Parts: sequence; structure tokens; C-alpha cells
Amino acid sequence: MLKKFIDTVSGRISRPLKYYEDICVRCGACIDACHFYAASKDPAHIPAYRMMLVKKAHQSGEAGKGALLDWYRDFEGADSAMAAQLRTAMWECTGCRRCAVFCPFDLDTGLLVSSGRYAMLQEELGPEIIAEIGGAEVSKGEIIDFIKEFYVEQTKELETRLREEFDPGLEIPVEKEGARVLYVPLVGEHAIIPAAKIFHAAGESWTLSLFTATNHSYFVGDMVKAQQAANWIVQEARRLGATSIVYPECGHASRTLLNYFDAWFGAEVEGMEKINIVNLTHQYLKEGKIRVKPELFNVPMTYHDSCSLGRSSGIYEEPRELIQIVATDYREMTPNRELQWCCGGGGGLIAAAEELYDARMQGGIPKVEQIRKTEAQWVVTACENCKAQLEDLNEHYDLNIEIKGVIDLVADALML
Amino acid sequence: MSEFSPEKTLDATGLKCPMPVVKTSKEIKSISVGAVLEVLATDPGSMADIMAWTKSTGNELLKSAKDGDVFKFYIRRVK
Repeated sequence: MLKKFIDTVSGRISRPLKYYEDICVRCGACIDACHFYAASKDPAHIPAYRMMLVKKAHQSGEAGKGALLDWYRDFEGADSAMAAQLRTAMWECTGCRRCAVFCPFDLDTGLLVSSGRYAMLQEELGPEIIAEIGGAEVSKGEIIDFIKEFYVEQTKELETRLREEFDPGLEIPVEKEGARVLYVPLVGEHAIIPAAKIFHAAGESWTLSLFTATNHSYFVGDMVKAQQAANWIVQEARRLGATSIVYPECGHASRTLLNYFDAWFGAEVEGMEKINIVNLTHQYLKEGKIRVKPELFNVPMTYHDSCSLGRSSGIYEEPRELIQIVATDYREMTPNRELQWCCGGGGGLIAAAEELYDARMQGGIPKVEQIRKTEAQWVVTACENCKAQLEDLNEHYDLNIEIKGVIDLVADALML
Repeated sequence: MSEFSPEKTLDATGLKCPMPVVKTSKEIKSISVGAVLEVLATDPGSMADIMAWTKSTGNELLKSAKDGDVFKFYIRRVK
């Protein structure tokens, strides 16, 4: 039972993970930090218990079998009950790392869950669709020539429309050699339109990537494929001579860009700027490259910190400053920034669709309560996953809110 | 009826990516190996996504076509 899981986890136990397994004293400081546990009271949602389950499975391999301290570890053996608990523990987690903030030893359950998820998929336990989408992101580079013509045609249609609606001089360049910025969007024009307006207003030299920033392999701890998918983007930037890679309002993708690209690609990205569109927009505003109509939106609004942008990448103040310039009535959720509650949809859970829908709706309860307390009508955030989850929470809990992107607000307030 | 006689049709129109791929992945498992699934989608991103998904999963994309605002895909389940 769970042989593939145990073998895979054993093969991936790195020094930090070994340290985590050994040092967690199950003090319980993390218990109330987890949004899933806050709503479910299921022990499999307790971060320390998640850690303990993986440790038990790991130690139940050949090396641990029959060891003298089996009784001490409360070892029941790798059975179907353990598999069911592991499934809950590994997949009903968004890797938001709120538990790590409360841990006195800074143990990062998210790192453990990442390895655990990869091992679970070897057992075919969990939503394999997330890994399938990740695989498709790797394959996209191999078929890019087949879809390029269609993509350019679609982009031209969008450019024509924006020239009529926004400014006749607006351009959406694709594969433009020598452009300073390579902007990597998401699937769908909603991630291109506000960025194109902002780049145009700033007079930026930019080009649109043929690829998308999302990286589902990262969600399932498949770091080899995660790097392969990202490599298409790095090579595109190098081929075009771009000196800045700009990622869209997408938390996990930005997390890979800001936290992994240097380690993954070393000299290939040395000296290359790596920045999220929100921070670049903030820079434009501070440097006077763009101007916006102040206090344009007279609607009570609040900001939701994406875990990947906030806790994992340190982006807290820039989005808030942008929002507060264009809003008359800004309200903070409590708690916020490093202690904010996850929306419940991160970690790839959105892509698992119905399979994890109930868990997502339950895990989003602390966020729902936070939003209600603000009485805000608009909830602004800078992450695609969060937006999709907030839309679902809005419908499920009748919140009667609108979900907005930070750069949507800026783009709508631009003064040319 | 198309030239490929699909065993099933998935209507993914109106869904934003990655949902067309998510639904396609689920539906392909509900048809027989060797049978064809017809997928209808309206998100332009589905063109690249479904083509890349078939390549990475080993299923065979027999044809993709645009019919007005609807993209049609014919996918043979291989395994």
C-alpha cells in the first residue's frame, strides 16, 4: 500500500524537509492558522498533522519497518485509511503558507505538501488534471509554430478594437525584437487589455509573449516540468533581446518568476529584470510615466492579498497604493498582509474543478467572513486564481460583490 | 454529424480557460478507447490549450476548425 508514494517521498526528502519532519514538536501553533481547519475541524487539515502523516508514510518504508520506535511514532501502517487522510491533507491545502507564519520554527508545510502532492500523483491519488494542464504548458512550446499565426491574428483583432475604444496609436506587438519588456499574459484577452493600455500610456517598448505565465506543474510539485514550461519564456526573452520579463496578475506564476527563475536559469537570466505587472505599474506612476484620474471610483472597496504575491513574494504595499490613488473609500480586511486569510482557491485547486469544489467553498469561509465585515462592494486582487475563487465564493455565499484586478482599475483611470 | 462520428459531444462554449481542457480531460475518460470526442468551445485560448493537451497526454487531435465563433475539436481517445 502506498509504495509509490513512499518511494517517491523518500527520494525527494531534502535536507529542509528532513529538518521539518524532525523538528516539528506538534506544539499546535499552526492549528488555527489553517483556513481549511478553521472551517472543517478535520484533523487532516492541521498543518502539523499533514507533516506527521507524510513522516509516518515516509518512515513506513523499508528503512523504518520493524524499527524499535514504531510504538513511539504511533505507527499504524500504510493502509487505505492513511491514503484517504493523505489525500485530504495534500490536496485540501492551497500552499498558502499562513501556517508557516505562525510556526515558531518557521517550518514550511507548503514545501512538504509540494513533494507530497507529486508523490500522491504517482499513486494516482488526486486531481491529475492539474498535472495534465502542466504537461500541456510544457508541450505548448513544441506546437507554438502551429498556433502562432492564429494567435497573431487574434491579437491583431484585439489591437484594432482597442485602437477604436482607447487610443488610435495603441499597439500590441508580438515577437518584436529589441523590445525592452516581454509581457507574458494569461489565456484570455482580460489579461492583455489593461496591460496593453498601461504599456501604451507609459510609452514602454514591449512585446507580447506567445506563451502564458501559468505553471500548473508547480502546483503539483513537479519542478522538472515547471522549469521546462518556464524555459520557453526565458528562451523567448533571450531570442528577442528583452531585458525585462513582466508577469501578469497571476500569483503562482509570479512566485515562480520572482523566487525560482534565478535558481533555475542562472546566467541565462542574469541582469534581466523580473517583475510583476502591478509593481511595474506602480513604478510607472512613481516615475511620472503614467497619470491616473485620482479618486475616480466612488465605491467602497477592499484588497485581497494573494498568498503567492504577499506571503511568498513580499508584494503588499504597491497594490494598496495604486488602489488608494483611484478609490475614495478603501477599507482593509482584518487581518491582512502577512496574516491575511487565503481565499481557499490557490494551489491549483481551481483547476481541479468539481473534484475540490466543496473543499474550496468550505476553505473560503474565513475569507467570506472577512469580506462581509468590510461591507465593500468591490474586492480587488492581483491573482487570477484568487479572482476565480472569489467569483465562486460570491455566487455560493451571495456576497453581492464585484471582483476587480488592480491593473483593471489603473487602466480604467489612465489619463493619456 | 461530422466526418468523425463522435461518440460524445462536450459543449464547453462560454467557459474560460483552463475549463475547456479540464472538461475535455474528464469527458475523454468517459468514451471508449479509439472513439472520438467532439469539443465545442468559444474561448480563443482553447485552440492552443487543447492542441497542447492532446500532445502531452497522447490523445490524437484529428481536426480543429472554427465555425463562426465556435471552435470545434475532434479528439480520438488513444489510451
